[in-house]
Amino acid sequence: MEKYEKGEKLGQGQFGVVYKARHKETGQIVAIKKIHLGKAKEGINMTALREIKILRELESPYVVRLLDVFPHKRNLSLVYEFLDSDLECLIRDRATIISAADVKSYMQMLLKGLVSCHKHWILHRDIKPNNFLISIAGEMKLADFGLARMFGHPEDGRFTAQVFTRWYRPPELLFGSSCYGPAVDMWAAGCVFAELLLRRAWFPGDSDLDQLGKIFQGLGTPTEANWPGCTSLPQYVDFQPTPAPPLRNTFRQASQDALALLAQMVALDPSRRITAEDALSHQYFRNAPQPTPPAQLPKPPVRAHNPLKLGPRGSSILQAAPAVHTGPGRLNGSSISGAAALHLGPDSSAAQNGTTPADSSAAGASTDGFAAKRQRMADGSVARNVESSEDAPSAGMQREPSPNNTGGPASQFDSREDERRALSDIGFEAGPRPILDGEELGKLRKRKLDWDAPLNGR
Amino acid sequence: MGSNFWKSEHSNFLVHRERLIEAHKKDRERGLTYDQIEEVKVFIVLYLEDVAKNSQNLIRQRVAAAACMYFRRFYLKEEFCDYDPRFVGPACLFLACKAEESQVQAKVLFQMLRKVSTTGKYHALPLPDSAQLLDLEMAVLESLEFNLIVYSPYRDLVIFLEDAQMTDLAECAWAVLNDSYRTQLGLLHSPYMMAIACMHVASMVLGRSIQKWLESLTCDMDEVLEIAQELLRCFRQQKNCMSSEACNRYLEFVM
Repeated sequence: MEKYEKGEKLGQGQFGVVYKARHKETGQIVAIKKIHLGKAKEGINMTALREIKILRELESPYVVRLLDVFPHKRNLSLVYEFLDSDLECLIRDRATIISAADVKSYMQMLLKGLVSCHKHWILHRDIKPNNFLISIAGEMKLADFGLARMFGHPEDGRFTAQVFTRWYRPPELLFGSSCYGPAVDMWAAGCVFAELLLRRAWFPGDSDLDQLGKIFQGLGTPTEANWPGCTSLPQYVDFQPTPAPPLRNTFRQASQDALALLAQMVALDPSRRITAEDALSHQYFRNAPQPTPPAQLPKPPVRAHNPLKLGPRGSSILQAAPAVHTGPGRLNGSSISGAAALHLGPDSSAAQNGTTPADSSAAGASTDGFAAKRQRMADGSVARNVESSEDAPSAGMQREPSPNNTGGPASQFDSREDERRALSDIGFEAGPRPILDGEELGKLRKRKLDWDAPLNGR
Repeated sequence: MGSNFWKSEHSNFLVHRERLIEAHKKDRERGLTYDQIEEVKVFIVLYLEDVAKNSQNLIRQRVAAAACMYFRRFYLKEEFCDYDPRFVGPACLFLACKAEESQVQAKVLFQMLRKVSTTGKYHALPLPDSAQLLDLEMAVLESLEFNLIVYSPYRDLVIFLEDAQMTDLAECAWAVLNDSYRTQLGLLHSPYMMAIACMHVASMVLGRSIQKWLESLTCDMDEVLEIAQELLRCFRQQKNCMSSEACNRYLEFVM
């Protein structure tokens, strides 16, 4: 811990607190997740252990890096590289235009991240837009391995079906399958692909049954012909047979090759789903337009769903603070605010909570508008970098009035209700996003752990 | 169990023999010999295996194997006089259960330890208390620098047996591999070399020849023979395992 200069608190997860920090020698900005083990009877918890074990092994430019782990008093600190935003923010930000070439670029990075997992026999099991972090330089990386596990060992036994956020959960898991492979991640990746194209969730189910209903409405009901064995899954339910409507009806703007790839990613039968590696060599990625180079991708907006997250107030201090010299150039953007945050006293950070449109537009107007926006991006979104998996789903599902939506064209959508109304205005009918509170989520997690363990090896 | 062993952290744990000679400096200064240190380690490894065997399948062989690897790796750096191996062993097992996705509650682990150590050859072994278990879990994690993935030679073994069309060797080779965790060979050699050497030993035991298949491989034959000889030597030596009293006596030297 001596190596790092602790900065602002970024968020609070079930198992610990997340801080922004700066390495004293290199100046590198990092995010530190402190896991409190004080009175834990079972020692280090599984979520943290999975994350450590897997990120220690995975090294890929498309997976977030775990830089260091160290014990400190009775805590365990996980040090991650710092990324500014995430894919969910980008998708939800109505001010950002995502072109077809941009979608291709994001999908390429997403699939490369998945390829490196699957090659290492790792299932992520929590693929969703807010687990893809985006750096200021436009690189996208897969994060949050709290539900991930190894697969492919002959003695593996059964896996729990209670993984993935519902909207991204594949039909075989909704039917209770306990014997699955990388195809589950591919389904979720397909849903993210669709979400990039639609700018809203494709299958926003509000219960497990409703989730299946929405899936089959979009893709047709499964039969023994298109998905052999589906009726013998443990929790199989019969749906009124519906033919699959053409994907074109939903995705009016998408290119033919994009829809061809999408269809293969969301094949109902997991054994017919395309693998991440094959998807990368799909025609879609070879045809024009070329994927946008990461540096030219749209700049991601702030993410500020977490009420504990501190927005950029007191911009005069921020702008006065000298930029810290960082090694890799791509961290420059964040290092400015990082250094500033480290200099902020408790008073100014306490005042940061309620940024109003006036504040941020004033900040933007006072000097360089882009710099101010960059500050917001850097400050508001950092917690996603390291949010423990236990709080991630809730953070992703709550739409709260947030500072990031202020001062720009996006301000008209600063509550969930508004956004929904706006969506239905333009013909979309998005259901409310389910909200899980911390306690409920804790129970859910606990159940997951209990499920994986005793089922194994029996 | 990743895709490329040589890029994995596991391969960083492979050491040269010299490293084993350097280990346990303080313990040796206090009067233990290499052989006695090894004897204690083998005893603890057997203890962990027996706990797993008596766990009604809650702890599988693969988990016990990982625990043994953690235990061996831990004592590459650490010493008996600083960390009591009779407590470190159970902590390794506790950690391995989690890392191999079959978590066992601490209180259940204590029940298993008690069951095994109240009777038979482990009767004099002291048990850690719950705080010690958790502290040592953290000490092990730190000493291993949080690298928890253990490549298992079992998968390699299955593949090789099929390749050599020698599936009748399977049972014996599997047993040899199980027993190989009683040696320190896992620290010296890669998992696939271990698997090949185990097949070689099994073929000798069963009087079958796999010479032809071995020659078709591009691996270092001398290394295979060296491992095989070491395995046979260890198995001969370990026929008479030490008693728990003897283990305690040795450790009294260094505590």
